[in-house]
Amino acid sequence: MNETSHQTGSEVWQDLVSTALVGTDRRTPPAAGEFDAPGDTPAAALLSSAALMSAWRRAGSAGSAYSAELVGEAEGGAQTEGRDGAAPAAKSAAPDPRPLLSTATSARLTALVASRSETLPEYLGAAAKTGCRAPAELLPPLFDYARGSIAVRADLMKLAGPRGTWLAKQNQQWSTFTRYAAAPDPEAWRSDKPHERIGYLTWFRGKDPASARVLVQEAWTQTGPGAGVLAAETRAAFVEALAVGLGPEDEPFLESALDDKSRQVRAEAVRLLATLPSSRFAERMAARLHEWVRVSTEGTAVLVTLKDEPLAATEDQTRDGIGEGWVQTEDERRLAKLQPSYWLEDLIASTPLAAWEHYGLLPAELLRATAANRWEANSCHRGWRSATLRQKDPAWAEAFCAVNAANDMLELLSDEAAERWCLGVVASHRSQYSIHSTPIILSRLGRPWSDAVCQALLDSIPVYLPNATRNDVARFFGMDNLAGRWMPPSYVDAVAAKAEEIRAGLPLWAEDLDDLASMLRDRALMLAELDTV
Amino acid sequence: MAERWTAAQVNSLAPDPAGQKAGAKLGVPGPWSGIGYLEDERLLWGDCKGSGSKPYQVTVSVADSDTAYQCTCPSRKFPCKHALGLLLLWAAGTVRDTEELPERVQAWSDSRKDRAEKSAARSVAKAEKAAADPEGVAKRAAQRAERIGNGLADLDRWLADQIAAGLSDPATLSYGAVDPVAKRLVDAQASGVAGRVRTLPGTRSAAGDAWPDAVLAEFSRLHLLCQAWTRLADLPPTMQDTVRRRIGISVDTDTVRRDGERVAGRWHVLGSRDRAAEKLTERRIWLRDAESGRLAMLLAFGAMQQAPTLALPVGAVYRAEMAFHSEALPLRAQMETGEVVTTDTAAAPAGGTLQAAAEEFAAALAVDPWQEGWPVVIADAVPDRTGELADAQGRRVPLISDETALWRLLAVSGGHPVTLFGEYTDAGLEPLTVWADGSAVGL
Repeated sequence: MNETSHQTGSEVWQDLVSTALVGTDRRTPPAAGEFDAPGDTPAAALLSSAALMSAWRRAGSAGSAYSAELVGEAEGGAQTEGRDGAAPAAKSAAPDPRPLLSTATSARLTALVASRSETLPEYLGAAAKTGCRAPAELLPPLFDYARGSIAVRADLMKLAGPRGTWLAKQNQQWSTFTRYAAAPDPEAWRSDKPHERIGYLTWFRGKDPASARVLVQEAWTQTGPGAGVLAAETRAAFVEALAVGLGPEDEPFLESALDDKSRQVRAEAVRLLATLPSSRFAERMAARLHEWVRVSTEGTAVLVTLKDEPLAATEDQTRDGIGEGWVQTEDERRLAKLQPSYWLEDLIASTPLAAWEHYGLLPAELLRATAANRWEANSCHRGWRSATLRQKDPAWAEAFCAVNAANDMLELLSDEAAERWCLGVVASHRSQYSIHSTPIILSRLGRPWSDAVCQALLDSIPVYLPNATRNDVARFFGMDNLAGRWMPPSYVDAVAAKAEEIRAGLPLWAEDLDDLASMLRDRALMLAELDTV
Repeated sequence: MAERWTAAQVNSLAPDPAGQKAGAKLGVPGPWSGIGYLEDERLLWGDCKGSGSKPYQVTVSVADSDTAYQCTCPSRKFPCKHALGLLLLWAAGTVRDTEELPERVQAWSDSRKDRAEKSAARSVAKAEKAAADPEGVAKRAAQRAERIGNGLADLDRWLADQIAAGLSDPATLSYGAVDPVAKRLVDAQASGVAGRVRTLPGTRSAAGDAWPDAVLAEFSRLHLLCQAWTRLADLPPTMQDTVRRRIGISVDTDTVRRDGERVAGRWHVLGSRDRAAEKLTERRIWLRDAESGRLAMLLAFGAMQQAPTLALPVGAVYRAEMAFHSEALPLRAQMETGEVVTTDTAAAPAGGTLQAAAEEFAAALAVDPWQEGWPVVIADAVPDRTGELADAQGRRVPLISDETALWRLLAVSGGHPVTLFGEYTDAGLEPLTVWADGSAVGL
């Protein structure tokens, strides 16, 4: 002991470890102190010393490793850079005065999220309407669920309240959810992360469109130290955010955005201006359309023709999105110069669809313009398609769906149009085509489903593919059990009655209806729980 | 009246996360028929529609001290998803109280009572037999002590040989080198030591660059056990019991019931943790007497794919009498008589600082150097997403937890001070329960 008494404890331990590594056969162990029993070998003596010293180390390590002087370092370095590298956030969550969900509801929610239940979205929506808040410990699993489901985010963030906003900011995988929060942190607008600014802007625009536009205008002209120039992508996204609550008051700003040096920004401005029929832009485009394009009918055929005189590029046209300024590759530029079809397509894509009313034909009639007509028909179809998607025009989308029910067009339908469309498909359901398209259509319906749709679906069952396989049956109700999720629970009796009616002849269908009925029963019970809150 | 369990308590019975998920799916009334609950007998039953033509018949006994399940499904998981689903329904209040038992439930309940009586009779008979033949008992104990002594002497020699030759040889701690040593200890009936030896290769690989420190520390603790056995008679009686337990000589519950120190009190359930041990699930439940501050740890085991049957809701308070195992550092106990006082988990236990926790852990190590960690309650603790905990004094300690537990803890805290229960170890604090916002949340 005397020999080592000048060593610190850590030095003694290090000495023991290095001797143990080399072996006591090759190196004399440090003096073992009062713990070596008579007759002990050097190795045994080393182990005895190590037993004492390791207890000493363990007793001290957890406390001493994080002594007060290290606190400063931890705050400087580790605090800003989380386990996941997310941005620094407010230290603590703001209080939420709303009452907690009832124990039964919380337990139900726990079970639904644990089993990733199909009924979770509806339940979240109903729970969000109660004006209560979710227990904090449920937020991480719910957030993980919401990573795969954009549709539930608004309800979830409402239920989660300020605690949820705080928590989402702590984890990069959840940080985009904050844009769905009921009241995002105004600090988000000053963030250096574009997605946080856009999230805030979109929310604010919904609340107060005029003030939100002023924010964008200010950001546009912001210069000076630290302000920096906004990236073209960010500017374009700001303009895109104005789509929420768009009105005639936005026209002057959007008109000025047509002079922006970025093509992306100009494209967004054109897109929004085209949906404002009273805008100067819309008037200019309509005037061009009516000047250059003639529409005539020959029997049921529709002919779209372009004026014979050559099209000349002018600065005005380029500013409004027609011609050279819009092509991206050298090839396109060459083609654009050669072919008037590009001009026509550009013109149609950027012209308010309302300008076509001038010709006295419905969208469905115009779409009858076929390739047999002239090359113009192709350009027209492409142009209309772009215009419909850009201007999110439900009437044109419905006309397109009648020709071909593509997903992007179905999304634009109004709820009533989607329902009309769905009823049409169900009424003419005997083709393979409709089996495959039913899930798409069902997924587009307003939720919960209307009585007309539910009744039509049930009525169609005996006649619909009596020889259906189990797969066909599953498809009919849509992927992910759409009927179970969105048929109103009040249909349970009708479903059960239908099952009995067809059980003898169509046992497969009847079983499927049994499952549907039991799911509706569960949902009715769960929703009733919420009503008693 | 005993209260119904919480959903969290039901989930803690699940043998694994997949089972929990499957159970949650069945926790809706849809597939169920003929469900009922008899409060007096704490019996719960129902029929669950499965993929077959006949529904599965499920019966559950939900007595706190005597949970049992039966199901006609072929699953080897225990409890099966049907039992869990039924329990969730019951926890949610969907199962109505009934007055009469169906015949099959009555028969099951009777046969269980019958078996319990027989088993009690057997243990009485065993005790009587032992009392009638004290010489035989002493002889067998001496034989076992000799076997253990020989096994430990071999181990101590092996340890010293490794240290003499040096630990740097990677073959020293390979599975092939360690396994025969462990097997020898199993033969010598020193299962506790055998288990420690078996984990040596794991200790080495888990410690990373610091493996020489970790391995030498564990070697020295094993050496200490071997030495303690040779001088057992010189040690104080309670220390003798600690050494015996560490070596693997178990004490049966009847002995503890008869001889153990009895402490009656209002025991607050602080936390619960499951760990997969060799072919077993080991559950630890920590409680603290609100008045004396005395800590107790209950230990329960579940066989493979089975959850331990002991499940106390975290945050609840029991008026109970504990029988403690004799130890230098008495912690392990069994609950003898107990009834739940409240399952309202709002009241947080009194907590201390990280400084105090470190001191308690050091004091525990001073008495029992083989102690892994020490249960502590920290007040005004603020976790952050770097995985650290700060207390009111600004001290910090790393949190030992997986991502799920850490995010749960962060969500509950919201950056505000909370009361936290966990196990304090030399590597940091493993958080197990957090109190905030009027309830206790298990992590």
